[in-house]
Amino acid sequence: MLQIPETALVTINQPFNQVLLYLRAAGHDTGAETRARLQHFVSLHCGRQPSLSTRQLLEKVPQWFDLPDQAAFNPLPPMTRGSVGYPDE
Amino acid sequence: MSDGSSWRRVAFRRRLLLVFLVATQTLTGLVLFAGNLSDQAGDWSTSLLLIVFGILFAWIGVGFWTAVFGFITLRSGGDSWSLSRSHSASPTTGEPIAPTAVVMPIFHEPVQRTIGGLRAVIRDLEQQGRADALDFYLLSDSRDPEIWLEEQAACEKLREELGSHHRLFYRRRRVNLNHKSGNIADFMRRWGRQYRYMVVMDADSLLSANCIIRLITLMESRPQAGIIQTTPRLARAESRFARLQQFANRCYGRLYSAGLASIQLGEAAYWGHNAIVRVAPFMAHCGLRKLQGPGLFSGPVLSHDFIEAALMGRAGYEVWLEPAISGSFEESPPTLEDDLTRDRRWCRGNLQHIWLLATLGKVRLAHRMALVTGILAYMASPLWLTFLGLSGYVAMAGPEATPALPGVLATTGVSSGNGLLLVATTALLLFGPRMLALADHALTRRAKSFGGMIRLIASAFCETLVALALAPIRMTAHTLYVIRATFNLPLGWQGQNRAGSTDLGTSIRRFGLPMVSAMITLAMVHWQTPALTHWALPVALPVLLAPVLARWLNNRPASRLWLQVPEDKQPPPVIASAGAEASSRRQWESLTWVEQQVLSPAHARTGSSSPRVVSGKKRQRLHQLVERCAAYGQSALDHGEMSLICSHPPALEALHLRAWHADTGSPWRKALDRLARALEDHPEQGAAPATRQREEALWINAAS
Repeated sequence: MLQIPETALVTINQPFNQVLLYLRAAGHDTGAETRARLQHFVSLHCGRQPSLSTRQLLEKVPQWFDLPDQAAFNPLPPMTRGSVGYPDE
Repeated sequence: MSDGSSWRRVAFRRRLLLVFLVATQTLTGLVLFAGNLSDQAGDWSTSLLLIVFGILFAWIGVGFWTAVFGFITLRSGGDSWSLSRSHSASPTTGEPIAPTAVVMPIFHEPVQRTIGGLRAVIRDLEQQGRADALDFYLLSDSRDPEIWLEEQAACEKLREELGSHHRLFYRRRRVNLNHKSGNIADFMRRWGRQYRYMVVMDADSLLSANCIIRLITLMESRPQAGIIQTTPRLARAESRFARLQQFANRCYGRLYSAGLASIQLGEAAYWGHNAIVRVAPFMAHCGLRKLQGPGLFSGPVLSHDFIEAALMGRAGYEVWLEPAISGSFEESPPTLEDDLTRDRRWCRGNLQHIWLLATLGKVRLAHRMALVTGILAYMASPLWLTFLGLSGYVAMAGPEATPALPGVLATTGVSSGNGLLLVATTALLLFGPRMLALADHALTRRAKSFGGMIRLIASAFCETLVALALAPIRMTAHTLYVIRATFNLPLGWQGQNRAGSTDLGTSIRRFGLPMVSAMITLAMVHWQTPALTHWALPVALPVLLAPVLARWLNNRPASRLWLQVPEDKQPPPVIASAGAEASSRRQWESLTWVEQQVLSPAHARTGSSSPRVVSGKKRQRLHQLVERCAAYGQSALDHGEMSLICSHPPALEALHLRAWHADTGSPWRKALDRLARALEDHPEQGAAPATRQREEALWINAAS
């Protein structure tokens, strides 16, 4: 595992902050280790594509980080179709 | 005792007696009234006045004699023909119970209070070891995404809290056909065949475990029973208005319900909630088509329950009202305005029954009479107004205008023996049930639970005074509703305001028309015949003061024991438990439910779940909606459009990504700023953290 001290994290640009906020909103920790990983990924991608947008970064986030599962709502029970009878007036 | 259909003979005899009593009393009243009428008014007005008087006198007589029947039934230890008396056994704990669904249709209700009530019901069943045997459905017709998203979240939270072994389901209809009855029909078409019984609750209903189990047991013991209706007690009242309704229901209600049950027996009415329904015959026979008549008599049936009872009866099944089953509660509308709003819906719905009476064949006489009673409950108001108008007219035409009973009789002098007798009889019919109820409480030594006999009498006196003041207000409001319904003027179908609170401006707007009418009428009476002013005053004055009275009634009393009822001191567990409302507030309080749904990665990411594929026009429409919402924010879409996005995962995810890289100054950027502040202030408000192990595996994969 990489061990990068927090003081070494210097990149505070807008997309980076946005992804950090995203991770926090998703319930992911945003401590030194996460920042370092994010820094690493961003650097990696910036090397390939210098003008990386927030959207492109956000789309990659689920691949880089294990975000909590989607909020699952209780599924409805299987249907047993029936019909309703109407009175003949 | 009530095997087979032998109860029908008993019911027939009791109904015959009721008809005889009401007819005799009405004829006597007519004779006394006619003897005091002035001849100078002309034939048409006196004849019309007599007809209207006869109908109204019979109407109040039905209420009085029903209470007398109830008094006698209660004093003789209950009705031996009732289901609960003839089938006394309850199943022992552990004995399997029939497949039953507890359904709660809701529409724009206060979410936390509603879910809190449902939780209390499930908890009570849990304590009896019965919760696992029942399935619970929250059937939402809510259209505002701010409400249904909260409903969904609250229901999910409740399910987590109760444990996964509980079968609690949330279902929201996207197309709200036929209001509540359509919602129930939709449930039955999808899942009805899985259940033998369906316990129907309202959003404000509370049913104890014993009550639910008792209903199921009775259904099992009585295969002919199609519906068993409990008589819900009003509970959890907080405003003065609600406490007045609660006291009246608790103090006098038991007389009326016992009397009604003894007269109707197996041909009772269904009130739409706090009841159990046998699903198969209900599905087979109780579907409600849209009305095909003119004006008011077209479109969906608004008051469905009485018709469903009539259809169940027509199919050969019994409908029982069982006042002896305890543990059934509901709430009163918190304010006078809310009560009248509900009446506006009911009035229209009940008047629609005129069409069904004319067109629906083979309905049993008792159910037809129940429909007529429902219609008269609202028609009585314009009839009373007509009576007052004619009464004033005839009195003015007479030799001397000396009103006998201010607010009621303008034409009958108390100087004559007949006049005095008529006034005394009218007063007895109006106030007799209250006196009987007090006598019943005294004889059964239940006054203590109302705070003692003196407090009980004082409470009844106070309630009667307010009821007298409210009667003309209701009369004018109901008359307007009848007129609006007759001309089929539009009616907004909204959920009830169960939380209370309205301002003075709303009250004045609501009562403006009746107030102006009352002022003009009073001025005309005073100008034409000053002697009749004090006859008109008791009717006109409360209407003129309606906004002030409503405001006073809508507030909470200083003491929780104002108009005390037994549940105030010793609330049953299900009420006490419902008081501790669920607290599924938003994760981020500074965001709306929609903003939270859109911005939360946990809600909006489809992840690995397979999205529903849409194509063609729907896809194009969803794309346009997402674009518009992303650019202009939540307020750019109406409820239906926003609901469409929120209930379609790929569209929600598309909006989610758009919102997360919104431009500075845009609505979503502002929402993101609020989210950032919320997370700064409360770091713990993020969602649950991911597992460390999975995280490391991802990291290794990505890094390599």
